[in-house]
Amino acid sequence: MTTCTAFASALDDVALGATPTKALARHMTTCAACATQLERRRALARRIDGAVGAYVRAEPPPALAERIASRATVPRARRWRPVWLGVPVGVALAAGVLVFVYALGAGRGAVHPTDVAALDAWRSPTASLLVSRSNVLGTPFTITNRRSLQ
Amino acid sequence: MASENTGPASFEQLVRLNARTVFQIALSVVGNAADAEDVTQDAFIRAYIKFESLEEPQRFRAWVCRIARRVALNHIRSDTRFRKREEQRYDDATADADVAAVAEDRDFQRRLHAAIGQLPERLRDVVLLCAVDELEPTAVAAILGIPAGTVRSRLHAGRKQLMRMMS
Repeated sequence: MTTCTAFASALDDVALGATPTKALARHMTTCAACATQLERRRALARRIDGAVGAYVRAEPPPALAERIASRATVPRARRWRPVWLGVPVGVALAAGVLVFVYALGAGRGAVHPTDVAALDAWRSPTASLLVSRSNVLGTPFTITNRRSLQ
Repeated sequence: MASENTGPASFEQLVRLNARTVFQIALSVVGNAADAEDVTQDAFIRAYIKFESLEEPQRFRAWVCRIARRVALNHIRSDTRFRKREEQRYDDATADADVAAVAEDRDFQRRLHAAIGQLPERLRDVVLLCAVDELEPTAVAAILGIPAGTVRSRLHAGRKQLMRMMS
């Protein structure tokens, strides 16, 4: 009996279609109980297979395929362009944005507080034209000169 | 890429050719005809939308089966009505039959259904898909994305486990 118990798993394998091992085949020639058990296990396997088949082998409603097929006449969505085409476009856009942001930053840098002195020293190119009518020889008409006139 | 002559007409043909298999795959996952219909329809619509992106039209069958399985899995995860319909499945199946004659069989079916539910997912998928008509282990392997040898070993393990649970 102990031997029979040891073959229980192997009997199931054989019931499911596996080739019996030599040891099991030898045992089966002398053990009627295991031979009977094998037939029972085969019957159970067949019943399970049939029930599992019945579980999924239902026929779909006849109108199902037609209903789906009729829906398949609407225009399909256009195929997406390959992803790789989007890469250079994306890179160009990103580069453009970066250049814009950089330029914006550079413009702000030109009015940095450290440049106030230079700005203060700046004079208009037309400053030389600001001369007094009374001094046509060219002495610039400065604020100091204006005060002196007053 | 789909060939140039695979227009709507040929897609309709593909639907008619594969509707049964797709329906059964859906049924193997969702467990009732009403949900399986919804899943089948959804799967084909998704396939239709992406049909032109299919690299090899001759592999449409495996492709749409994979879509159907994925849609079915999403369906049972998201649809709370699923469980209620599932509970009604056996009652509906035997409503018109002689109850006395099918009582034992009905009990067997119930226990088997519970046993299938207790199988590990990797075994359950293979056991149910291999039960679908016209699906060979190689086709099941293509659907699940695993080697055919793995399908066979899982099928054996799953059937064996069912036998133990049904003993």
